[in-house]
Amino acid sequence: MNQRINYTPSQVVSVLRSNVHTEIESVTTFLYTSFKPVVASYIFKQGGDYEDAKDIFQDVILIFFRQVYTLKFEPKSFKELEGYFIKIAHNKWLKKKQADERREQRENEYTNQHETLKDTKTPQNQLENDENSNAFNEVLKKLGEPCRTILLAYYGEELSIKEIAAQLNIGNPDAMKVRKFRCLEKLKTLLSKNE
Amino acid sequence: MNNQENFHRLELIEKYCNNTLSPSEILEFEELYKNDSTLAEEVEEYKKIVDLLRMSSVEKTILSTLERLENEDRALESSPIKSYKAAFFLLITTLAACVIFVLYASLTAVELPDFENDLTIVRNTEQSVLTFDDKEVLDNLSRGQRCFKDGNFSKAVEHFENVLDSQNTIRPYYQEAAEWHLIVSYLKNDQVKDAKRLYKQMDNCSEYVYPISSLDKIKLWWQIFWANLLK
Repeated sequence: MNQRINYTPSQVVSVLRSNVHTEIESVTTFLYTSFKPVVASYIFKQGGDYEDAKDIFQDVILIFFRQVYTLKFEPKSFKELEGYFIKIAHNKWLKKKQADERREQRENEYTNQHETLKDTKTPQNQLENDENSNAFNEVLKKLGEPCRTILLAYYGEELSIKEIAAQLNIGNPDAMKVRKFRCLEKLKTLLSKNE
Repeated sequence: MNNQENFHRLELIEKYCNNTLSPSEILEFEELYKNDSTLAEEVEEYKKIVDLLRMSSVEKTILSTLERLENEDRALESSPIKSYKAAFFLLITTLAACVIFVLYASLTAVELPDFENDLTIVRNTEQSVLTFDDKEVLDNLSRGQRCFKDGNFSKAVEHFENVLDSQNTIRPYYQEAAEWHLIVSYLKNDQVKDAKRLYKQMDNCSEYVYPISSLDKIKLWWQIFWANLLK
């Protein structure tokens, strides 16, 4: 298990905006140990179970990351960070309840959804509805392997062509370089089709 | 544009964005930029894709870390270490409860129920017609009880022994009352062996008429045990 390191809100932000994955793991551990109990306790109070708490916390932390990464949110204090996690968990829970209700009452689906969303419209809520990142992840899935791994390793984790070639057992770095460009071309094509 | 040209173009864009163009490549890129209006768009597109790839990669790391943390939490919930800890905690709690109970039994006074001064104490005797011996038994019993209450245990021992030595057949209730009082009196009077012997004898009985509580019996056992040990 990672040793838990305490971070200030500004350190959390700068790590999440960096590309240092070991640091990102450490910050995730910090956020998990700091806010998972609060979020889980809220979900249990609302009648949710362990799986609900797990799913909602996962969504909350991803939303938080996307907002921080895209410069839309920058917490100034730990209290603000905690409030943010609870607020997003609350919105997520409402959304889940709505989805459950929709399943039961198909006829009222449209009205219920819009009324409640209007009532709970917040910057966080707007981001929750921003599906850009999820859409991109779907395209990445379509891209398939090994392209997905090559691109994420090179552009995401910033590994060198040599390291990726070794990881994927492709001996020749030049071949890997060509392969990487092919994958990037394929991704561009898929994205343009998706638009 | 063939594949080779395409890759070269992409490589130039990548190097331009990473600021790693060589001097000759800079010239080539600037030339291209002047003559190709789509290059600027391609640069922006490249930046956007790289940004999305970075985000996706970080999300992947966050999700795998969360998955690991959740698994570690679950493993900890069901780990033998946690079970051992719970068992150890239970054991310590039980031991502490036992120690507290033993201390309570060893240090608090045994409370024997008072017995009534019943004139029919001597069996087969009419109330109004008591022999001298019968009167003596009754007298010893009441004096024994008084000495017991006053804390004069040596005298209490004497009186209760007289009751039990009597040749008359007294009611089991009073006999047992005298015996239990005698055990406590022996104990208080430092006659631990006598207390132990009589307790053992009483403990072997299966039925009691005199209503001594189980708790008081346990208290007596522990007090005899400690007195015997410390002697």
